[in-house]
Amino acid sequence: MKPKRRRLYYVLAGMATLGVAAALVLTAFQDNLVFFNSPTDVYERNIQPDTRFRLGGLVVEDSIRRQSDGLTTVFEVTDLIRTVQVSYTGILPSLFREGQGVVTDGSLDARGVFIASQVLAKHDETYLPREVVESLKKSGKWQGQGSGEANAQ
Amino acid sequence: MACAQRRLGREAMDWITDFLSMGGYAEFVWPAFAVTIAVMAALVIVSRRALLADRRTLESLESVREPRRQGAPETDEGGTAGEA
Amino acid sequence: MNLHKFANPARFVRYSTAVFPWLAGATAALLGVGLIWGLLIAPADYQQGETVRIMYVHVPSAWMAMFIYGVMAVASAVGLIWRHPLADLTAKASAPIGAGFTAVALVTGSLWGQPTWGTWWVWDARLTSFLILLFLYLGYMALWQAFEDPRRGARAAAILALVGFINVPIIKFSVDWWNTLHQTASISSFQGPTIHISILIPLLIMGLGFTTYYFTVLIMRVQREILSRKIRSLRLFQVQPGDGRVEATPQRG
Repeated sequence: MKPKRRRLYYVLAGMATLGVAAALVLTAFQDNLVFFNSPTDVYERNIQPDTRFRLGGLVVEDSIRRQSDGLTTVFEVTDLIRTVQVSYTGILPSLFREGQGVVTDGSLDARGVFIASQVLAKHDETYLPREVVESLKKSGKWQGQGSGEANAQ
Repeated sequence: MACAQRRLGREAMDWITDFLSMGGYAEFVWPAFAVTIAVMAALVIVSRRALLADRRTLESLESVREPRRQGAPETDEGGTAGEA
Repeated sequence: MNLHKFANPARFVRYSTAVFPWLAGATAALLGVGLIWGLLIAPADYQQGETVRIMYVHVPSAWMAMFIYGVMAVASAVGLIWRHPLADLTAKASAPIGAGFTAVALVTGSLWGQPTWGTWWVWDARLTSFLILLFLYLGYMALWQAFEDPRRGARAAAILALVGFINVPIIKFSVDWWNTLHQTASISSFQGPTIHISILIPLLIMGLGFTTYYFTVLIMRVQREILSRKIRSLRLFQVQPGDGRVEATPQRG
């Protein structure tokens, strides 16, 4: 019985040590594990122009403007605290919509506009059939697209 | 009658092509299901084949060993010990 | 000790053989119903359209990939501490199933990411930690093969399984702890699910079907491992007939 007890303690102690080590490592690398920065991060960290990073947030309603070249889209990304203007030339993903989450890759220009070289759509964790959304909208209970996202980031 | 039948047939065809097209996402939806089914089926086949092969090997080994059985120590029989 | 009864391989073979046809039947029924429901009956999503159907294979695969790793880690711990003969075999038999589900989750996720996010792959915390899970499974399987003596292989592999278990909560909570492209969990214990019931039901049926599938295949694989051990000890016995007692010595303790 004795060696079993000892082995049990060894395993438990080993797992506890590993857990603590992993927690420390993950906390230390926190900044690198983040896939994108929010508009608030952009202001707080004072990110310089021409530094490449990812900007993520919600596309502001009624902010999407197509430029005259037909390929460039300008829109605003918000985390509901701060807003950054984004300009992107290229084809947008099919889920790119106002009120929906996006993650863009690029850098700020001198005017503070984020020039994106890639735009990815980030969808939220709600899955609903079309009819349900329509009836929710009709009854006025619909809380808008991407509402699940907004408070998270 | 024939006309109605043909229309029914066309409706069924339309429904099938509609279903297969997956709203324009066929190239993503069907491969996803195909990959899943292929991997799960492969695991079943491989596992079952290995089990049956080992069962046959064991049977042939035991039939060879049969005559010597009286001399063999009991520990190997049935219980956990021999297999532990 | 009651647990010991189930750790007896002969008894395990007897019980598992009795359960097997029921499990296999349940798996076939659940997967059949789940597939038809998911592909034909369930509605398309209001945002994603038909691509949401990929969820019915992607999400259960990812669940199983993590669940099976959990089983493997627990079995490895039991094998290390109490040296139950069946625990190591359960862990070993689980690994290829878990690796298969991990690969499926990665591939189907990629096929889902392209039409919805606009990319096949990103190095965000969720996707990266899940890729690490695949490597852990592969490393675990390789470690078993790397040792001539299966007892040593079992011990080394068990330690890897336990060390790698740290990755499981990281996968689970990566979407909550860090900004990721991957969305957060739809079915969490804190709030109700954010999936409409018409999409949730086929998902749960598939999840159940994948679970019974795992146990069905696991029974075949564990039984096979038991037979393999028997074959190995018989062969050793035949090579050294006079030395039978050495080979038949219980390997506990």
